[in-house]
Amino acid sequence: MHEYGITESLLRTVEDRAREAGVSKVITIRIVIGALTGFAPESIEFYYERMSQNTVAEGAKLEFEELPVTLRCRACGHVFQPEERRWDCPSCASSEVDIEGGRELYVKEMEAA
Amino acid sequence: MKKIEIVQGLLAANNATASGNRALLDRHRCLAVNIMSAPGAGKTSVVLRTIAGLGGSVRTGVIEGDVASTVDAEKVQDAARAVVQINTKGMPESCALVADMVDAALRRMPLDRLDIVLIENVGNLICPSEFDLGEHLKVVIASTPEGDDKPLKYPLIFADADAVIINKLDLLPYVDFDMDRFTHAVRDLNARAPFFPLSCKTGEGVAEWVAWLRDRMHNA
Repeated sequence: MHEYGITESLLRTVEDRAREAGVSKVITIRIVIGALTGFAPESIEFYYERMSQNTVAEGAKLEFEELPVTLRCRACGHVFQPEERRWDCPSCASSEVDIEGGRELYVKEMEAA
Repeated sequence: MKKIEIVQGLLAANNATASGNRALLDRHRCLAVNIMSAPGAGKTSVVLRTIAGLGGSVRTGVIEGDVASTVDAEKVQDAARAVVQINTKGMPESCALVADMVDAALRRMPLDRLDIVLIENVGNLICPSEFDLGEHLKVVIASTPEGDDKPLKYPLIFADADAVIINKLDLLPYVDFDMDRFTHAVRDLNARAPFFPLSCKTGEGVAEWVAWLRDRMHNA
């Protein structure tokens, strides 16, 4: 349910950029979501449909690009994408890792007319 | 058709408010602690034990995030110097506190007369990990009946924790909770967080947690 605020933020960002760019209709919006975040694309779509009514971005198609979890091994520095629930380093087998990627959440670009 | 590059974080507004909260707290030399756990792990019990452990010389405020009741706020009312209840019911983001809610709560607190603010987040291990509130410390509570696999299921919240409390230590003989397995799973994701196994029921281990927290206050 925390997608409500995120969707507000999305719409505000898109409206601002549409105004700056002087476009009349937003057609597609690309959003990047890291695999570790708890944000559900379908919830964002659900709120977006209602919130975007009577705006320049009404009816725009939301395209989601999921970024994978990326880990850095604390022992050998190897950067890798783990398999499900197996987070140990494929290079040196150490299980101690830092999360490098997978927590992203941003609007990347839009197509407009 | 024209392509317009944006690259704008969708948490930017929340993060800006959180930075404002942190600056406000810093001006008042007040340490803020974001306490997160699954429902029933013992957030309110930890808050009560922490207030008692810090003693009368530390002036403690509490922000209670709760979906629909004032039950927790009533429990801590007598112990804390100031309690503000945030009822997230009716607010769409009801699965976690967000920086705006904490901003509103801080404005209702006598910050110049407080040394520490304990923020009891909504019981949830997923959503709270996404939202910076402006706290100085993130503390995650796991409890022994929940099992030792929580860090594997909810990596983000454990990866970001500044301290991990393991509550309900008194139940350890009766439940399937392997302390080594749990601490290793957290350590694999988080090199720095200290562990505080304790029991709010018996008081065992509480002193170590409170001593650590008191030390963070002196460093603040």
